[in-house]
Amino acid sequence: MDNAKAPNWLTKIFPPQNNFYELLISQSSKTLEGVEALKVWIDSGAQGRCETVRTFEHEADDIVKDIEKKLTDTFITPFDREDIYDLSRNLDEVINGAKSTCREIEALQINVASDNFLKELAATLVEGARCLLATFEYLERDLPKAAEQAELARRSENRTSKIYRQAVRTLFAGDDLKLIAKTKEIYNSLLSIAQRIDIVGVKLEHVIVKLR
Amino acid sequence: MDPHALLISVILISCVFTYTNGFQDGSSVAATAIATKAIPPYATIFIVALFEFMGAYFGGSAVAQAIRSITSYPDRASILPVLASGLTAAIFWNYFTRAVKIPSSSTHALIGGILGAVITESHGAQYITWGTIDHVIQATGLWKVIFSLFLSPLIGFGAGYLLLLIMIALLIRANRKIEKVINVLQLFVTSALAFGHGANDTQKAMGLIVLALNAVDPSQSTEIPNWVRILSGSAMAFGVISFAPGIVKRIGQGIFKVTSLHALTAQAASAIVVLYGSASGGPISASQVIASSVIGVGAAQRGKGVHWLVARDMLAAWFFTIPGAAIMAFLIHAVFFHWLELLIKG
Repeated sequence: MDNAKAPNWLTKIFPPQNNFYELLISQSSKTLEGVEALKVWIDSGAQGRCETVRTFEHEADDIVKDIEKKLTDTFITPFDREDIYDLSRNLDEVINGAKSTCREIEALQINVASDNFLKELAATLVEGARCLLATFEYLERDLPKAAEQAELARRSENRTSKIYRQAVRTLFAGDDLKLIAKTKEIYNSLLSIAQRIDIVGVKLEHVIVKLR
Repeated sequence: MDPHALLISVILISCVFTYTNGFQDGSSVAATAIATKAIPPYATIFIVALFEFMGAYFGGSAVAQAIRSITSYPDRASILPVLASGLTAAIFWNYFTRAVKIPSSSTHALIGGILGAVITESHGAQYITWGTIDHVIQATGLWKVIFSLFLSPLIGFGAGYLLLLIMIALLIRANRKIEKVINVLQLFVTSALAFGHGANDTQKAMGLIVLALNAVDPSQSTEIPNWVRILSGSAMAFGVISFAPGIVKRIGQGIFKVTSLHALTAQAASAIVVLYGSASGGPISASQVIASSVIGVGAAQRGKGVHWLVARDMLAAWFFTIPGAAIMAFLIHAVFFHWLELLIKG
């Protein structure tokens, strides 16, 4: 069921106990750190177990739980309770995707050092996650800028898809079927992170339209 | 024709008018409480009907005096066809506008009907008591009725707007458990609103019944007899029980998505305006006050989320209802009740 919402100007005079804007920003920031850690790990050759992404994913999980608990308890929220929940859940899927990719790379034991497409894909994901964080930061104070950043986050998915298609084309030019199958799995995994970023971007645009 | 037969007709038509009023406005009173599921629908209808009746019985007679004061038509039997024409015009206007989907208001229709019938009967406005403007707040005669009718929705809007901001400021750190308290409070506020509405709206018809009684028997007191209160209160309560789900949907969810806090706030803002109107003798259109309070709450929450067409409908009702009902009263009087009057004189 819908709930009463506090207009932003009113919360400046009467600050709420739970600031959901700040909570979402901290979750988005943690997500960005996780995706950056994935990029750093891939860039460095993906040697050994990727602990940093796992750590950030656990920390992000704690924020998600905190948001859910506070949503259950709080009577007045800055915008629809369901929208805050959806944003947090969808954002969590982004860092979950980063962790899954790490696990797959570890399990498949492929040499990523020579694959520039993988590095390029990871870099695009970092851009997307950075735009998501910027959107959350602008959400409370500047909706037009928030809309711009959400649009940029969504565009990163288009760029990722483009790189993905080039990467697959190049991959299938080779003869090593085992390597093709393994690498394709990783490409797919990275593409799915971009798609999750796009889902958060769409949800953010939906919230921005409602707040305007 | 025996004037008593016409007196009984006026009383019956008054009851029909009050019934239709209860049917329309009672659903508005119950709308937000039902829409937010704060109180079960049947319990809400029962509570509203009960408090509407209590409002009719215990709500004083200030509004009745105000309605009576719009005309100085002498206390004689010839006023009976005038009242019958005015009341019938108001009823027909309400049904006509509903059929052709034109926005309307029962109270405006009643005022228009009575004005039209008095002017038709006396061939001029000499029996219309304009009264004084007197800084608006202490206006008398027709001016008091006009100010009350036209200002009350604006005050309802402002009260709804401000009250929601105050409630949000007060509850900004509240736990969700407060929702249960809000639902219980809705029960009290809905009862208060129903009481105020019962007092205000039944008195409009009761004022006219007393005029009719005085016309037949000038020795009769100008106070409202208890049997008139019971009769009008019962007609109102039956109207409420008849219930209009369409109005509940329109007020409860049609203006914007109302939550329990919005509902409580809109009900409280409406109750303040309606109870003040009843105590000060200002006739008001409860359905318009409730709708405007909901719009005020919606505007405070998020102006772009409000279906402003409802406000447009209200404005249309302001400008069309009084002249429309007056013309209808003219036609009804000329075609039907004028001949009854000739029968009385004959």
